[in-house]
Order: sequence, then structure tokens, then C-alpha cells
Amino acid sequence: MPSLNSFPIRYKERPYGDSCILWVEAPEIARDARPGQFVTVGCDGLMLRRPLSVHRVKGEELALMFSATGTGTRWLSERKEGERLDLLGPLGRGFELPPSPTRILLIGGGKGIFPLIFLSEWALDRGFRVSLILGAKTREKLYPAHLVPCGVNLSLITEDGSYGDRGKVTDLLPLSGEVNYIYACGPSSMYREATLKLSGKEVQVLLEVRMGCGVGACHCCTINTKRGPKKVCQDGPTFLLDDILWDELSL
Amino acid sequence: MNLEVEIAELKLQNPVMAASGTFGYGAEYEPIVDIQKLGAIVCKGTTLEEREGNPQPRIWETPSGILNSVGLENPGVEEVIKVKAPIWETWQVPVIVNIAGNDPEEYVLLASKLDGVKGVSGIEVNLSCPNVEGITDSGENPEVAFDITRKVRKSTSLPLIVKLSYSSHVSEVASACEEAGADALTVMNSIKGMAIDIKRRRPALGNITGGLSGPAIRPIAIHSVYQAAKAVSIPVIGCGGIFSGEDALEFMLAGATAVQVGAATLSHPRATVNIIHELEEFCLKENTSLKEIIGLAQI
Ligand SMILES: Cc1cc2nc3c(=O)[nH]c(=O)nc-3n(C[C@H](O)[C@H](O)[C@H](O)COP(=O)(O)OP(=O)(O)OC[C@H]3O[C@@H](n4cnc5c(N)ncnc54)[C@H](O)[C@@H]3O)c2cc1C
Ligand SMILES: Cc1cc2nc3c(=O)[nH]c(=O)nc-3n(C[C@H](O)[C@H](O)[C@H](O)COP(=O)(O)O)c2cc1C
Repeated sequence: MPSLNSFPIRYKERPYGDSCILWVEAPEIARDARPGQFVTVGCDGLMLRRPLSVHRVKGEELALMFSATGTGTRWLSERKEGERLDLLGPLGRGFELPPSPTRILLIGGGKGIFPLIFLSEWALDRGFRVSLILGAKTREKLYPAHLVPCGVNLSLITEDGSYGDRGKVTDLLPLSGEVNYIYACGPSSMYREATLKLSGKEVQVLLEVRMGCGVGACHCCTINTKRGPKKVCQDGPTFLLDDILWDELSL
Repeated sequence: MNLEVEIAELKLQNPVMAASGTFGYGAEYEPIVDIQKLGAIVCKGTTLEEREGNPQPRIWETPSGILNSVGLENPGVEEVIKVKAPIWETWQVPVIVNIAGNDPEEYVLLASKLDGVKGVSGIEVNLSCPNVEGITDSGENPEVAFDITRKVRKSTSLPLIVKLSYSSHVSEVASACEEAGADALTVMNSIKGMAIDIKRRRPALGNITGGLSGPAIRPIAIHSVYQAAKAVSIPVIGCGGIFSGEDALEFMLAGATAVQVGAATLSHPRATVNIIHELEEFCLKENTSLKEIIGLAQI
């Protein structure tokens, strides 16, 4: 069940570049949130609420991570500790984990890492073995390795080779060793590559589509999939890679 | 405080309704909004057959506005009658079904199917969905508006609201609908508009054009309500960019008996109930009933 309220910002971090993490004390949302779910944030003076994934949860606080690239995220990056944020969440269907602990592979391209941190913590806590391929264009845009939860088996890659291997996350696929549960988050070009390299595997991905209400009422984020029309805010934002029709995704 | 208003035989506990397309079928908002407090809920536009709607993207933020091109995605009237109406029947808040057709005959079929369905408290005829080909200008054309309204009137005994689009001659369209037997008018729908995504160098919306709503259209809606309310004696429901109690008062002073809130719900999911609260405070402070202020600004 989603809640709607204004919650205090407790802590603000600027980990790298234009990225920003806001820790918000939102007990109702923190308690119910699952990896892959999101909240929408009301931004002063803007018509549409901004969807942001739950990046991390600690007790009664949840973290939102974003880079300040547009009007809403810039406004958010200027918020200070102690101010209140208007949040609606948790929304959507999170990632599905297999019923018993096993090895899982996470693939995060660029900002796609933000929701995967919560997933990796959640899975580690439940006895899963977690491998993560983390990539970005350059070292400056790479999520810092020291913020990745310990226990994660990490591979790093940058497109210009300024850190880790040189190339794209999908260049490291398929990873050696048997892994049947794969979770990917990143730009759609990455998903297309992944489709080729991971055919036959069950891959869950997170889709970003422009949305209105966040609760399935306005039908603004409906996409066609191989399983019929789906509302990204309600039936997603997690989908099986196999079910996606690429022509549908034109943010 | 008495906020009651009447729209045909419908007694609303307050004048604030959720506008079509922004409140789903009501239940979507139950976890976060006390929906039974609303004056009424108008459900998503309903067509004879199921509709898939328009290609992505379907929504785009503009200065003080929202462009949308959902394209009437809905499960079709049979599904609404079978699945949604039984839920509405258990509610205190009246639910009005918004209908859209490709021609007058479709409107007639829709209205007849909904007539007598428990849980359905009224019909709102959408004359003007800017996102669907075929019925685009019926809301601007008095003859077409008259024809559809008269035919629908004959096929239902439910309270009949006709929702108009923007028109430079709104008085004529309003009068035509009144003459044809409408019980009330909703003035107005979103206005056709367009934006370009400079990053993709393409129209921002998959459908190229969409309907503009939000505060950006409020002065236009106020003017339309002012004109329509002068032209007819049936109640006018004001709609377009209402975000606060003060905005609602503006519409009522211009001549609206009730109001509908659309885009504001997307910004603030509790906008409708907040507006009701603000209207209550206004009445307390000014020691007035809302009915007394309707049309006071008409000169
Ligand atoms: C389910 C979901 C989870 C997300 N999680 C995160 C996250 O954890 N961190 C993060 O940085 N970003 C995330 N995004 C993308 C995020 O919503 C956009 O970065 C943000 O809305 C941009 O807002 P803006 O005002 O800065 O940009 P502007 O370009 O000024 O925004 C204009 C409009 O377009 C919409 N928009 C722009 N980009 C996107 C996008 N990529 N996806 C959806 N809507 C968009 C905005 O919401 C707004 O309505 C997520 C998107 C979705 C759908
Ligand atoms: C996402 C969205 C979907 C809408 N769908 C419908 C619809 O199905 N039928 C209809 O008559 N109006 C529809 N509308 C129009 C609204 O009901 C309302 O008339 C219009 O948006 C102006 O009011 P507002 O500024 O308060 O939103 C829709 C509006 C939005 C924003």
C-alpha cells in the first residue's frame, strides 16, 4: 500500500559528479519498500512528480539517488537537510527473487546502478551470492566501488577504459559460471545488447517511461509488451527482458 | 458547513469532482485519498470496445501545464459495467461515467448500455477528445453537439452532463446542448497543443499532438465558463487548471455550480480533498454557503 506524506530529509550526500543522495526519514515507505519499487517526488512549481527508485533502505530511512540533469532533479539537488520532501510510495512491482538463495547477477549501466544497490543489499541479507557488473562512460560517471555493499562480487568497466576494463557492461557477458537469475538496469541500448548476449536466460529489467499518476489511474505510462498492454507504474517498472517490444520505448 | 450543490437530480455533498482520465475508476486512489469525501468521481473515458490508446510517450510537462495523449485507453463499456460498477455501487460517492464515441450512434449505444446500471450515477458525454480522430470537432460544432446530445438524451434517464471542448463560440454550443436536453455542462476539456523534444528532434508525444491541461489553460476555461453560464440556465461545471480552493472559487464566481479537478491530482494526489477543505474554510470565514456565490462575478 502506498503512502503519501511529506518527510524530512535527514542526510544529503554528493558522492560524485552531479549525483546526489537524499536520505529521507519515511518510516511507512521504508518499511514496505522492495527492491525495484519507486517513489514519486513532488517538486515545487513543477506539474509532474518525478519517479525515483528506492536506492537504499536503513531502518526508517530510505535513500533516493539521482543526478541533477533536469529541472526537477536540479531542484531536488538543492534541497537541504531538515527540509521536507513530498513523497508517494512505494509504487510498482519490484524485482522478483528466486524462492531460495542462489547466485544472482546484477548489471548496472550508468545511472542504472541506483536501484540495484537496494537489490544487492536485500539479496545479500537473504543469503544470495551477488555478482555485479558495473559500468559507465568514464571514471567520473562510475558509481564508487566503496559504496557497493560488501560481499558483492564486483566487476568494473568504463567505455574509455579510465577505470577497470575498457568497454561496455554487455562486453563482459555472459559471465563465466552458471547464473540463471539476472537483473539489469540501464539505458535501452544496453538492454538490446543484453537481449543478444543472454538469450535463453531470465533477465529482469527496469524500464523508465514518462508517467503521470504513478498509481495506475491515468494510463500515461502504458506500453505494449509481448504479454499485452502494461502500465509501467503498476505492472512494472520491472519487466522480463523477453517481453519487451523495442519500438515501444522512445523516452 | 453546507457545501452541497445539485447537478440535475444528483445531490453532491460538495462541488468538487475528480475529472475524467486523471482519477481512473476511483479505487486506484483509495489507499491515499479519502475518495468518499469527494462531490463525485468521473471515471476514465469509456468507449464501446476496448481501446489500446496512443503510442509512447503520452505525457509531457510544459510551463504550468501537462500535455497528454493517452488516446482513451480503456477496457470498454461492458467491462466497466461488469467489473467497476459493482464496486461503485457500494460507495457513498457518486460515480459518473464519461463516454466517447466515433459517431452519434456509438454514444447512443453507450448511453443505453449504462442506463439503469447500479453504481452508475450519471453520464458525461465527452464531445471533444483531442486525441482521437473522428470526434475532434464535435465539441465546437453546435449542430453536431445538438445531435449527439439529443440522441443520448433519448436513450437514458440518467443525469446527462455534456463536456465541451474549447470553442470561440462556446455560448452557441452550450445553448445547443441545453436545448437538446442536457442536464448540465462541463466546461471545458483540455485544449489541443504540441511540444517538440529537442533532444530527439521529434514531436514530444507519440501521437504528435495532445491535450493541454493545468493552470496554463485556466484563464481560457474561466472565460468559457463565464460565457456558457450566461448562455444557459442548466448548471455549468467548471474545469481547467483548478489547483486550489481559490481557483475553484474563481470558477464558481464566474458561474460554475461545481468544479472538476484533473491535472492537479497528478501533481498532488490529494488535491481534490484539499480543495474541499479550503472551500469549507472559505465558507466558515465568510459565513456564506457556496450556492450563494455562484455567478456573483457575472456582469
Ligand atoms: C520507475 C522509474 C525509476 C527511476 N529511478 C530513477 C533513479 O533512481 N534515479 C534517477 O536519477 N532517475 C530515475 N528515473 C528517471 C527519473 O524519473 C528522471 O531522471 C527524472 O524524472 C528527470 O526529471 P528532471 O525534472 O530532472 O528532468 P526533465 O527532463 O526536466 O523532466 C521533464 C519531464 O520528463 C520526465 N522524465 C525525464 N526523464 C525521464 C526518465 N528517464 N524517466 C521517466 N521520466 C522522465 C520527468 O519526470 C518530467 O516529467 C526513474 C524513472 C522511472 C520511471
Ligand atoms: C492524463 C489525462 C487524461 C484525460 N482523459 C480524459 C478522458 O478520458 N475523457 C475526458 O473527457 N477528459 C479527459 N481529460 C481531460 C480532463 O478531464 C480535464 O477536462 C482537463 O484536463 C482540464 O482540466 P485540468 O486542467 O484540471 O486537468 C484527461 C486529462 C488528463 C490530464
